[in-house]
Amino acid sequence: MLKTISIYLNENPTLRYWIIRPEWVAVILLIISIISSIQLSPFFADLAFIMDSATPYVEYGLIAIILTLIIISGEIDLSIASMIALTAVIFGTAYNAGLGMPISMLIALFSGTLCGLFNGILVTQLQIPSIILTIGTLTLYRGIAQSLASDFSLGGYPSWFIGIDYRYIGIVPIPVIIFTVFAIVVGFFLSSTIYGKQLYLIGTNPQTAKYSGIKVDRIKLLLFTLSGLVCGIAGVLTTSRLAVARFNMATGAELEIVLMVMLGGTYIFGGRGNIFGTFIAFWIVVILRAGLNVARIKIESQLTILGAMLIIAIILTNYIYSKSQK
Amino acid sequence: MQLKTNNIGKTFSGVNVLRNVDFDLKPGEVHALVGENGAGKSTFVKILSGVYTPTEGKIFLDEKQVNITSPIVAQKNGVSLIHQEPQSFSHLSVAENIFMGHMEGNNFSRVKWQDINNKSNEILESIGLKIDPKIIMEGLSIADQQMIEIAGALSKNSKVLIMDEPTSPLTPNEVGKLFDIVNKLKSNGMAIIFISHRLEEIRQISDRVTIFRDGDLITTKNINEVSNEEIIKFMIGRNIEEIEVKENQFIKNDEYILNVKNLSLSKKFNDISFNLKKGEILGFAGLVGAGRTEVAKSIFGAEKFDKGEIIYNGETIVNNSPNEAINNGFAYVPEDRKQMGIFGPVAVEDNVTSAIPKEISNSIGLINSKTVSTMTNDYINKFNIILTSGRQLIEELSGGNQQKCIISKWLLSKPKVLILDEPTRGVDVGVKSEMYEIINKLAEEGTAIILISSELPEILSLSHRIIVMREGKITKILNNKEATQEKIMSYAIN
Repeated sequence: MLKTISIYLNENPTLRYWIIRPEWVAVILLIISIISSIQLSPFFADLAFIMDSATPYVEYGLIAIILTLIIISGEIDLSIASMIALTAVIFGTAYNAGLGMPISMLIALFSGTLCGLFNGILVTQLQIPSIILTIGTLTLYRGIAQSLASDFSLGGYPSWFIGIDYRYIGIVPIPVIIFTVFAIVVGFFLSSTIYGKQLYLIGTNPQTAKYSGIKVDRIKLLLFTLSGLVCGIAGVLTTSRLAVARFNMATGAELEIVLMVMLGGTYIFGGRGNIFGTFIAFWIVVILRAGLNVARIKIESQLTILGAMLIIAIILTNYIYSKSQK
Repeated sequence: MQLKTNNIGKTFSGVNVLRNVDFDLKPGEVHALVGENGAGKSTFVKILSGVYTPTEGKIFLDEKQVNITSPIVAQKNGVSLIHQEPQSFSHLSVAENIFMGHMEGNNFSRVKWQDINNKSNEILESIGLKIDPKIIMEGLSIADQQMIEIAGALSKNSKVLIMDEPTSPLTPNEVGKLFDIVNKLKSNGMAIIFISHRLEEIRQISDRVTIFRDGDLITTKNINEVSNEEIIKFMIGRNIEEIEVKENQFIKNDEYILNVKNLSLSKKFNDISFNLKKGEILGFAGLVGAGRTEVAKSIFGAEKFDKGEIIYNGETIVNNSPNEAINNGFAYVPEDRKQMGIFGPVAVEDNVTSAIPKEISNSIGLINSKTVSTMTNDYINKFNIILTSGRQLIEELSGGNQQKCIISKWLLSKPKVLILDEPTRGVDVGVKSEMYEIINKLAEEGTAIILISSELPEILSLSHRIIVMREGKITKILNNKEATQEKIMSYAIN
């Protein structure tokens, strides 16, 4: 039976392409987690509750979408969480220095962009592996944030700015709308445009990509810069949600963001993956976290479960890709 | 050792790639395996060397049945595989590479270096090699690395040696050296399986030849009782015309499209000057490492150059990147297909259209997938590429079909100057002659072609003029009429 199916699939590459895809793992996991959460608490059957639980993760979700692009193109950015903290702290510092809201926001976004650009330049010009380099800037950016803000919470923002997570359109919080629209736009970009296609080619074989006339370095530089910009946006959003900016915001968030990308079936060695998977994985993390909270599992123990899921996600993705290749 | 197989078969996910192979190999014999790519010879030797386990059939060594379940089991039974590209640990010493996996330690598991170096020396001397076992692998030529791999097999007391296209990365001179060693091993009673696409070599070195086609063992013959034409006939099941030498040696027009003047890159090549006409095929002959590929890469913008000038259509240009080169009308089919030519786990149609982003998308970058499939299918039909559909992954195709896809990719970019770097390496005879037709036709249509090849018959039959390089310099430019294999070789070596 299984044999017949696999022969049939081998003879129909298009069908195989659609069936053997790791994001189906994410979809199945999502269904499982929804069902088990509803068993846990009737709250989970309420869409509004799930939406509300999602808002604290939207900042991570936005970055996960950009990180998906970076991982598909064969690189990684681990300095993301530090860039959230640094841009938030810069934003708070600027505002408290009396620069006014619009200018402070621009400065935050600009500094994020600059951080990303710095990552990008070092990775592409000096050919330093991004996993090593961004561990370095992870520490560096967090360090700069700490020396700027020390242990203070930078607050005092106008009330219209605070609490973006409590603004709704219908039952949907505004951050969730931002996230969804962003996912659709980037997803479309990745799946349907030539630029998206080139990311896959670069991730599959950067040498061949270079010899095919694809501007590998420029595209990677752009991706890292974009990652910085989106972290800047996330920094401002987080500050709005928490009403303060601190140097230790989003500590460890890089792991949760990587988890979203991996769980969504993006291949850690590049060349494969998509935004749909990351989008689904975002909701898995949301429901899982909310479920664990409802089940009164301590934050400290939650990390164990997320870590285990990350490993399972990587094993499954690798297994499925090895199957789909032969 | 005598090796016999009985009814060996192999099935991959339901597809029968090898059927009923009854094969025998005698001690002191060189037994050649030939067949087009995908004929089953590689699968067969992978079964013998333990990389694959057969779906059916039996293997006998000296009349005793053995189950070869892994490469280690194969080696313990005296069967070793020498890879086409040497698989060495480049940062370790020669001796470490020879004894990798079976180094003897003393009581505290410390390596007995003295012992290993001495033994390595003995083995290397026994095959007439003068290499210090203490030097690091990295600095050695591919030929020497291959010899080290053979030495490794000897250190394991191998009785059956399987050589998978050992000559394809070697220069003619090195092939000679390899054959000396093969003959020496043979006279010591080693049983050798030798895979090659080059019939002259097979004729020179082997005693018997076995021909595979489409997963079947077609026949085994004594080499003296079979002609090249017959072998080719067995391989492809049809006659193939001999490649004729070019009739019109001179291009009538005088339109120079490319003028390269005094191009230099330190330590790579020096003072390279040549010109190229529209519709001309300019052959680049020379030994591996003569700097031909480096010159090509500099012209294509993949590498820089220090000095010199490239005049293209009467204007001085500099290609700062392959991207600029492509926009200027250059195309480069690289030598290393796997590393620089294909996107392995990617659909054929995405590979074929990867160099023409503008042609397959609209102004905002949306891909027109219909255009992509039409363009791909055009070339699939034109070049007779064998695959199930354009969505099939390119890595699942045979080497020859992959190469056709790469050529298609570059023809879609409508190049004015096409650089082909070893375009027929690892490609079987049938595809080769198709490739020659394609190249000739392109030239007739006006494409200027730079052909880098280490196969002299190929260079001789295709090129209008031949540039011979040695150690980074042009030593001679020959017209097709005056060129012979001997002449080219005399300018290519010291």
